[in-house]
Amino acid sequence: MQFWIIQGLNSLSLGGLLFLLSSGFSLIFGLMRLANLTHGAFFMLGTYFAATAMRSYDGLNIWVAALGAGIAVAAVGGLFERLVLTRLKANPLGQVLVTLGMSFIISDACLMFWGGDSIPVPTPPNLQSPTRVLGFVFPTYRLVLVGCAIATAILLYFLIERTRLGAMIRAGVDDRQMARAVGIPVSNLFTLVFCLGAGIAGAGGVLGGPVLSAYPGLDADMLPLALIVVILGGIGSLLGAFIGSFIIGIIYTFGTALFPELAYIILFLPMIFVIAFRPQGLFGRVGT
Amino acid sequence: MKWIGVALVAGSLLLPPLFAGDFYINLASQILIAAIFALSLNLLVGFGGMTSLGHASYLGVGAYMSALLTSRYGFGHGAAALLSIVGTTAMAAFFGVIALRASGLGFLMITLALSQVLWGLAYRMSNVTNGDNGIAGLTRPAPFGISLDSPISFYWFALIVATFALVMMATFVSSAFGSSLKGVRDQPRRMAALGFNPWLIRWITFVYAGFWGGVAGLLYVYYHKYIHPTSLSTTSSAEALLRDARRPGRRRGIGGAPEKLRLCLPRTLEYAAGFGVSFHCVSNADRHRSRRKQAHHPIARG
Repeated sequence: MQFWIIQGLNSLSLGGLLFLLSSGFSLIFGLMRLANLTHGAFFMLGTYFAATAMRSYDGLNIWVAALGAGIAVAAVGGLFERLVLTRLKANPLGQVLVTLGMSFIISDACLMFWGGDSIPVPTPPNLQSPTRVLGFVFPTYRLVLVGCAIATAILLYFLIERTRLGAMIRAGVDDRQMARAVGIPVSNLFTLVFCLGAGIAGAGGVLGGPVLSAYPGLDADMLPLALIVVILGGIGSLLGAFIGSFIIGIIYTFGTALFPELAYIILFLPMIFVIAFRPQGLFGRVGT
Repeated sequence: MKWIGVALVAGSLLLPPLFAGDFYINLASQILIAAIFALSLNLLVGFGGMTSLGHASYLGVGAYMSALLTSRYGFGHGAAALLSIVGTTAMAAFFGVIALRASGLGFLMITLALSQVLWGLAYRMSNVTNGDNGIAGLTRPAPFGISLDSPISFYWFALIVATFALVMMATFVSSAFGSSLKGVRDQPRRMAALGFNPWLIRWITFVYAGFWGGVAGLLYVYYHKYIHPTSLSTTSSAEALLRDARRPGRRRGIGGAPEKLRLCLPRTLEYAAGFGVSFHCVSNADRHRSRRKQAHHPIARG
């Protein structure tokens, strides 16, 4: 019983982390039809920024670090989109190769700059003490992570469903050419959404830091997870990314705990079947 | 002119063993192995228009099967080589059935996921694959009683296999089937209307590329006498893909071999340089393609 509850809580917190990672990926994929393979590297950049900042300024608040890293990574993403990706419109192969190459550059630059040892990110002092849930002791920070994911989901929901900007983004997702024809500046919207997605990934990297810590290869570990979540949930669907994150969180946690040898098969099989038999995902409207 | 080029290439491949040191001969062997692997990926990407992010699967599975069969189950090298190539090809046939349900980005992601599954298996099933420690202490085969342990003899072996592979793949591409493959790449709907079966053409190419990937894997494991899960990872698939994309001879089948020379450069520099070149190639290739497409009648575009 204890096993199921603890692992259940673990899968919830992993799901929260995955949502912070994949919501931006899903936004970018949905609007720009662009599989941004740099997303894992953006996440890792965030973690490394936080690790460095919190080491050099002792007692730096993690929320401030997340905000700062989010803005910094958003800036990197924006530059990348403006300078490189705009030249590759309507060329999916080129976009895949370029984002992949960019992720290699970022991860190798991180290796050069920060070295090969993993750098721990300290848990905020006021969240270090464990909480009792249903009579079991559980790290408070992991629960806070779920709260962060839910808060981000609500904010994004209001941004997309209730604001003028969100209406324009939705119009772009549904029919890009028509949106352009009625005067929506789709190209600027692309840059904005790319910055937003990269920023959420960077901030998510900071918040995931205390759980994962910053290490080389973090990007390659996180990117496939983001891909699975988005494929499973449906491309460009916020609800899909949210539910998909928690489904994958559960599958991954229990898969690793129960069948450690087959964890990757259990993780990737749903994705393969979804692409092969239901390309639009569980909640998506557009196919891959 | 063409023959001068062929003579130059042949000369530069036949001469090194005569004067070069062991280091360069070994480097040349690695180049040959990488060339077979790149050629097989190029069948998919360049001629088939199928961008695979999981091509390292075939190299890795071929290598792992041979390593396991010889070291653990006591097979001879001949039987192990045969079994691992048959096994790799069968796996490619199965993967092809799944992956070719999608095209474009979907295809790319299925191949990525499949290769991650294999990587995870190699990494986690440590009682079979020895996990992160890899399988060490392997031997090289001795075909017809000739030992391949010295760098020179291995180089000749690799050269013979690579030449055979190049001829076989060039024949494949220049055959009538190769033309239909290029047709399916550029105009799948027209090809279907003409009575071709695009799915089957893609699938056969996929299996054939998997076969040569398996051959490259055999050479790979013979050369290193060691195998580790990284050779199955997405990173090695992606590196092969990036190499394939940025070389000038893409779509023509030759070239790509010198890439291994870049081993001498620090990796970040390599990525940065390669990134620039691949970006250039890809954006230009797109321009050419769109120009070519515009030449067709607009309504008939596939």
